This record gives sequence, structure tokens and C-alpha cells, in this order.
Amino acid sequence: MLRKSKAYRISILALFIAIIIVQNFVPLFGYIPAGPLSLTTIHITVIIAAILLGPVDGGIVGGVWGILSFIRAFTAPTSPVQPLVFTNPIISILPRILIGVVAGYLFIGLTKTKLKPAISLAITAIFGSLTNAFLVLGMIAMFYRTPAVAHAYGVSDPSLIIKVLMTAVGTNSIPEMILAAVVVPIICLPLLKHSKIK
Amino acid sequence: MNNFIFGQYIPGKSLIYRLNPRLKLIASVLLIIASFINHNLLGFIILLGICGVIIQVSQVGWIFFIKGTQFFIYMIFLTSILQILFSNGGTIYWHYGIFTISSFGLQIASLAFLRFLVAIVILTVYLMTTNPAEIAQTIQGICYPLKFVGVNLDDIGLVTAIALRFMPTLTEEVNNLRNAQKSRGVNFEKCSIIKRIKSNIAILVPLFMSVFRRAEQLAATMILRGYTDGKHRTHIRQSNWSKFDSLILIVVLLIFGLILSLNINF
Amino acid sequence: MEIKLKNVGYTYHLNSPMAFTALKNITLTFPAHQLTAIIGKTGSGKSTLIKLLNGLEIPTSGEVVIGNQVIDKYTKSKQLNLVRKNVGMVFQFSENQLFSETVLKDVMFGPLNFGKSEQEAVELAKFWLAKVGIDKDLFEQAPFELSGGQMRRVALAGVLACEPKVLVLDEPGVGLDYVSNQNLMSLLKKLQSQFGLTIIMVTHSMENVAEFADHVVVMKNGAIVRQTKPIELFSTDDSKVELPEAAQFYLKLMKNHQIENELPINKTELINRLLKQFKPNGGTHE
Repeated sequence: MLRKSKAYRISILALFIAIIIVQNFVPLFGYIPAGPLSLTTIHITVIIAAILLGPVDGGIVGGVWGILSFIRAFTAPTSPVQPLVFTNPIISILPRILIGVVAGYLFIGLTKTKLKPAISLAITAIFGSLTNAFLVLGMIAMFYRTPAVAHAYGVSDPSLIIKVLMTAVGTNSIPEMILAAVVVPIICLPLLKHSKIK
Repeated sequence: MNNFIFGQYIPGKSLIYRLNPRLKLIASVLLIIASFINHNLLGFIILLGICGVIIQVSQVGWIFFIKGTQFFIYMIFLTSILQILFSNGGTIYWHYGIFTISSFGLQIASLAFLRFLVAIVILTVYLMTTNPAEIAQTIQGICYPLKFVGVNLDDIGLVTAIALRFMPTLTEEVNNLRNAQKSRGVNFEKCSIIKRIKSNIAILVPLFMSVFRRAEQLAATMILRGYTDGKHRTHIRQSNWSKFDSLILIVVLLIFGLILSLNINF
Repeated sequence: MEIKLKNVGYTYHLNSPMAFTALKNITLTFPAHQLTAIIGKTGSGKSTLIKLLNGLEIPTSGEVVIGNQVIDKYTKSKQLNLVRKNVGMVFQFSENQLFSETVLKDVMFGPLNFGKSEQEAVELAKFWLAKVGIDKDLFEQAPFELSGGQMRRVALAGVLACEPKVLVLDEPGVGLDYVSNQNLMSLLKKLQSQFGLTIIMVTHSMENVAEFADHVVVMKNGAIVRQTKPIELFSTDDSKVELPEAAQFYLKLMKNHQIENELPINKTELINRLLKQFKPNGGTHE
């Protein structure tokens, strides 16, 4: 069967990586500017890759996004925070790999339960998004309470960074999570129906 | 938006296009590292001079180049202004409420600005003058050590080649979808955040649907043409390392050494 | 609504090494309430031309007049939404743009964007879905579960529900089988007369031009070569354009037979002509 072949796996992995690259470079598509941070839609690509191809390939696709954010922070920043924070590979690359890994294993686990596929997909999407949000924002809170970062976020004192990050959870992470929970089932359901994975 | 050039390959015939792609990557990385370890004004004058020469020799045109990179330069400029206004230390020249202009702030900000400027110029020229097939080959070269942990190098090459091949196709598809939704009244530039997110769904869903179709067609074609496990692929285009490439490498290493020595002496 | 182009030029990537002039000094009128077909080889500038008609691209020189609104290079993107409301655009392979969970929601997307209330949008969507011949049972289905031809109709309804005065279509029949194509074209023709729509379509099918268009524009290398009625374009063989199959067939027949030398441009005309010329007793048959 075509969808089980290695040729299909290679093709779809390559095309997902191409989507990630396009999302990084086409303006107003992968990153939607919103205040000091920008909302992203790229985690959706990683989550879908993890659901369809498993945790390893999900991790690879996430890793490509991470490497691009890392390079981007040096050469094509979209917000003042990026050059300060994302030049650290632990913040720019690791959380993105983990989105794919977490979403991949979670979905495999959920397929063994009796949940409806649409629900499993939405849960996977929510936890995939949260992995990214908690790791990125959490690490900024832990390692980057510096004046420069505070100012890039538009506050005067490093102690206020935590507050800003909590706001970011509300203004960015939650919309990103809802977006993923809506989009992932729309895209994956027809495919899962065809390939009879339940 | 029409002048967005970052990451886009522009076919050309100038000297830079003819360099070995691996050399180009090594040289770019060396120059970017040089700019990040440099703390010295003379060092930046040298590096920016080199950037100027590179843009000139690449023959992509100054106005075009500036237009294409201005957004990122503006972003870095903004970051630097923030750093100037909020950093504190050294001699203080001006102070108002939470804003301070100090010698320390000016120093940090100008260092960061110059470093990022050099990095942007170098990477943009690299991507503009290196065709996707060459980038794929270079990436495969970088991944060579992975061979020893059991990763199939030919698969990496194939995945990279397919990904780069489909980048322009997918970009065009995104633009077509965006046009189609614009015709149905979506305004992508001026609207609330919630609307922007909603309008992005209208692009993402059809884009994925078409990617799945393409992947199936591609896989079928690969199988029909005898692809089995990806082993024993050969390359038609073998990149040659010329004497001129060696010369450029020596020059870049010399520059790197020079920048290094400038910073050790101080 | 009439659309006029005055000395319009368009260059992609102006001031860059990739600059490419797609349209050169075009002056042209698309008459109101008529179906105009644009024909020409790939790369002749057809697609660029139609993108100018609803403000997806702004001319780099000259002006486009849509009703009483003028678009030139100084037009701001804010002003374009009204243009897009008046001029609906159906893209090539439009079935690929559907994205909502249900057919009905997808059609409602446009009206909602143009400021209609939820209730109005539902009514518009139902009305136009019925007009394009989509069964009520399909309204709540996911669009991806429909057939290709049905999806294309849904996409068409999605544009019509925005209530445009002008409808621009890029190769509406491409990839459809003969019967689906005929049905789609007759549907367009019906919409044109029933709602006074102005229709502009790009096509490669000379049969569609001959059978359905009131007016035809021929493009070559970014310029207009001819604008006339299909019957005038196809009734003589000057080898500038590819003829419809009916005319090509008749032309071959003319080489061996003494028959009237004005070409029939579509199937119906061809049959009538042949019946007239080749009567079993008499006629021009030797």
C-alpha cells in the first residue's frame, strides 16, 4: 500500500519540511505579528507531522523549525526579543523538537483508548502546543531575567518579566493552542479515515 | 511585500555563483563567527568592507538588496534602540524617567547592531547565490557524521532535495490561496488578531490537503521509477574544488585570523 | 458593471534583477452584462490582467476603472475591499481552496467577511448553493468528501454569495469532463442573463469561446492583439488563433468539396450547415 511505503514517508517528511521553511519565510503566514511576540502557526505543522509520521519524524520536523528559528534570530528577526533570546539553541531548538516527540507519543497512546478520533486529535494538538509554550516561556523566565530582555518586552524591570510572560500565555499560547485544536482535526480527520488508523 | 528576498535564490552568473557551495558555507560561517567574537571598531570596518565587496561582486544590485533586507535591519535597529534606552552603566549622558542613555548602553547596542548587520548581509548573499540543489548537497555533507549512528545519508539528501524543490511551489500555492481568500473579502494586513488567525486557517487547511495529494503522487512516481530503499544514489553534479576556491578559503582564514588577533591584542 | 483599462502596464519585481514586464500599455473595455473571453498562449499576460481587475495587483502604470472607482499605482490597499466586493474572482482549480468543516460554512465565509450578519450569510449561502445545483443533503458535509465537480460548484457559490456585480473566472472548465464543462458553462450563461452579471473568463478552450462568449479578447506577449466577436474571429482562417474543432473540421471539408467558405464556429452551426449543404437530393453535393 502506497501510504505504508518508505517512498511515501520520505515524500511527506520532505514536504512537511518544505512547509516549515515556507512558513518561516513568507511574511504574515507562519508568524503573525502581535505586540512584542508574534503568534505562530508553525507548531501545527509539527503536530500534524507527529500524528501522521510518529514521534521520531515529528521530532525531526520540529528540529528543522528550531534550527530555522535559531538562524533566524541572528539574521532575520521578527521581534526585538528574538536576537536576545533565540540565539540560545536550548531555547530555540529543544522545545520545538519536543513538540513533535510529545505529540507523537501522546497520539499513539490515545489511539489505544476508546476516544473518538476527533477528540484524540484535539487533545494531541493542545498538549503539543502547551509543550512549546511552557518550555519556551519557562526557559525565558528561568534564564533571561535580564534588563535587555525586560526592555525588549517593553517593561522597565527584570522582575516584571514573569508578569509579561504570564500575559504572553494569555495572548499567545492560548490562542495558538485553540488554533491548533481547531485546525489539526480538520486536516487530519479525512486522512485518518482513508488510511483506517483509529 | 513584493520585494521580500530573504532566502530566495536568484539565478546569476557572477563570480560568487561559481564558487564551490561548501566553500561558500564555510566562508559564510567563518565570517559570521568573526563578527560575533569581534569587539573592535577596526574589525567591524574590515567586516563591513568585506560585506560591501561581496554585495558588489554578487551583482544582485544594491537597491534591490537594501529593499529586500530593510525589514530585518529595521528590526535589529529597534532592538538596538531599546538596548540604548534601557541599559545603564558607565557615563550617563541623558536620563528621563525609565529611559537612560549611557556609554555602556551605546556600546552594547552598537556592537549588537553591527554584528547582526554583518550576519544578515552574509546569509542573504549566501542564499541568493547558491542554488537549492547545491544547498541540499552541502547539508548532506554536514550530516556526514550521522552516518556512524546508522542514519542513511542518501535519505537525508533526498529529503533535503525534495524539500528545497517544493519550496517555491508551496510559496506560490500560499500566494494563490491568499489571493483566493482576499477575493472573498479577507484583508490580511489590516485586521484584528483574531481575524488574522481565522484567515490563516483558510490558507493552512487547503495547503495541507494539497501537500498530501502531492506526497502521494510523488511517492507513486518514485516507486514506479524504481526507488526501493534509497541506497546507492549517485550524483550527476559533482562539485569541484578549484584553485580559486582554495585562494578564497585562504583569504577568508586570513581575515578570520586578523579579526581574532585584533581582539586578543586589546 | 463595466471595467475599463486605460494604458495599463504591469511589471513584476520593479527595480530588481528579476524585473519582468507582463503587460504593456493595454487599453480595453469589458462591456457590462456581457460574457467576455480572454484567450492567448501561456505567458501572454492573461493571469496578470485578471489579477488587476479586482485589485490583487495594482497597475505599475495607467489606470483600471471599475464602475466609478479608479485604481492606479497610488491606490491604498484599504480602498481595495470595495473593489473586491464588486468583482468576484474564481481561481483555477478553485476546488482546492475550500477549508471549512462544512460546505455551508465555507460559502458563508465571504459574506461574513464583507460584513453580513450570521443570519444573512446563511440565507445567501443556501440561496447560491441551490443556484449552482448543490443538493441540500450536502450542506452539512465536509467539503473534502464531495466530488471534484461538486467542490468546484461550492467554490463558485462561495464567490457568488459575496454578491459581486462582475465575475472573473480563470479557466473555469479546466480538468472537467465534457458534460460537466457544458453544464458549468450553461450555468454561467444563465447567471449572466438572470442576474445581469458581467462575466470575464480566461480560457484555453476555443469551443467554450465559440459557444458561450459574447466578446473575445486575444492576447499575445502582454498586449491585446484583437478584440471582437467570436463569430468574426473564427469565421475566417487567418491562422492567428487556433480554431474551434467544428471550424477545423469544416475547413478540412472545404479543401475537397465546393461548399460555402464561411466557417461555422460551433457544433450546432456545423450540423445545420452540413444538413443544408449535403441534402441527399441536390444541394451543392456533386
